[in-house]
Amino acid sequence: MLESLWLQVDIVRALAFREQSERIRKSEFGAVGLLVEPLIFVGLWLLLRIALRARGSDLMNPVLQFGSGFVLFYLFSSIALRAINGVSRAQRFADLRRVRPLDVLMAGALVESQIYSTCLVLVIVGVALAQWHITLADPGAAVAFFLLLVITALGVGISALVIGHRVPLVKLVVKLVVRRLLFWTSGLFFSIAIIPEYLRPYLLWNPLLHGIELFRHALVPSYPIPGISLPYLLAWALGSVGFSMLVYGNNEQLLVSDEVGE
Amino acid sequence: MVSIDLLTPRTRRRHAHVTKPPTLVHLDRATILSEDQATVFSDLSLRIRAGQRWVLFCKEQETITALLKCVAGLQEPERGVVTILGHVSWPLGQVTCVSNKLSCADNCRFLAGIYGQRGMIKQEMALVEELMALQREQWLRPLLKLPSAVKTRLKLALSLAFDFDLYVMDASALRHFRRTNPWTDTWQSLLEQRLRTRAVLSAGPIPLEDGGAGAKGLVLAKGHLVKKGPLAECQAYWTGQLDPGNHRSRR
Repeated sequence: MLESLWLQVDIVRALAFREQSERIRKSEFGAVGLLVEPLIFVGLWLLLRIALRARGSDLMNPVLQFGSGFVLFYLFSSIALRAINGVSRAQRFADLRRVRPLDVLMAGALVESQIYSTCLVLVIVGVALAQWHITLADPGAAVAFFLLLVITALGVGISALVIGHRVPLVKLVVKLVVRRLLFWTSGLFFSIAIIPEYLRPYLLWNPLLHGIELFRHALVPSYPIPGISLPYLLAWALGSVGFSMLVYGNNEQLLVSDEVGE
Repeated sequence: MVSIDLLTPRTRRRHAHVTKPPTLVHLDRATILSEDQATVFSDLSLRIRAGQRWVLFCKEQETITALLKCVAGLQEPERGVVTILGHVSWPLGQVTCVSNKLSCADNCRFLAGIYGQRGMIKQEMALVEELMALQREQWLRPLLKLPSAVKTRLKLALSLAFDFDLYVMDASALRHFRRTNPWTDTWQSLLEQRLRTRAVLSAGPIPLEDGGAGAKGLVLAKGHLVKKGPLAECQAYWTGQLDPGNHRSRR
């Protein structure tokens, strides 16, 4: 069993290597180009904030606040949306019997995690260089919350992929929710602490909001997180990935045969 | 205990306690139809054990291609069952997941990560680099910027670089490759090393000096099995059945 596990690790690493190499070759700026897109988004929104002269919340450095929010949101949406489109990507490897659709999805998540974790590190280091002070109170917790978001995204994506294979409407709904609804309700532009109490219960259903706020709290312990719950995020992570493995395991043949037939 | 030479280490561990060569592939009344529902091959049963050599005689290229893909696990039959219990190669030289955007080195590293032995990636890459006989700069350049013959050579090199329990091949395609590409001693010795110790399913004669030793034959006509047994008998049957005007008889 251990041997099978190691084999799967090797396969996922090989697939991640290939995807990363292809993306680097496609990018104009090589490996640096992979980091440019998410950082540009952060920069643009920061400029917009400065242009609007929006009042800051003084809860934490605005670059860190925006940066962490955007990077973590794009991490989540990239992994989830790429997983939803996983069957067509896995088609390229139909001739490799050892490669399963799940391996392709996990490799995609690994690549996205590498890119966005590097972006986060750059944001934190950039702020540290500007302030001559590193704002990272609990790095272990920050890494843990990052990983929980990755796991949740993968679970949501795989579940949507498998269920969406039988009910295509599910894929459309999940894509819409991730791209539109979560974008405005995940705390990218605000802190949960400044939201009126009567609105908080509705926003707190969103697990991504919990992940982003917890991450910010790990950077700055004084950052308030009323109503934010680690057990809730953990339940989402374990529940989504557990459910996704259950539906995937029962429907893998369906995905594979549809790949071959396409 | 099965001879250690007949199986890859991983498969060997899985069959550590068996006393006769384990089954690698079992076709059970498999049927494949073409897109227009014509029979490609029908009701075919075949069991390939570790170390066995099978030579396929058939005029129809579509049947050959479909059977090789079916045995390699790349095509599901419309009816019947294909059970693959070992590590089977793709039809030699027909790797389709080679990316033009990547270099020979990157493609090799990718496949070595999936099919290579743990801890041996560098050695396997070095072997492919030696087979390819390219300059270092070409080895690292995207395939898109190299002649198509390099890609063909890379596909065959990748097919032979990794250790499989069963090698599946179309002998005529291999002969074509040898006619159109430089065939060095390295290629020949690697081919012999792979085919000598492992099971082989070959459409056409196995390209070894003693390729017929212990081999079995399989004769298909219009998608149906007409003869199965010792190679000499099948070969005699095949020769006797050939239409003199058919060029395929000169395989």
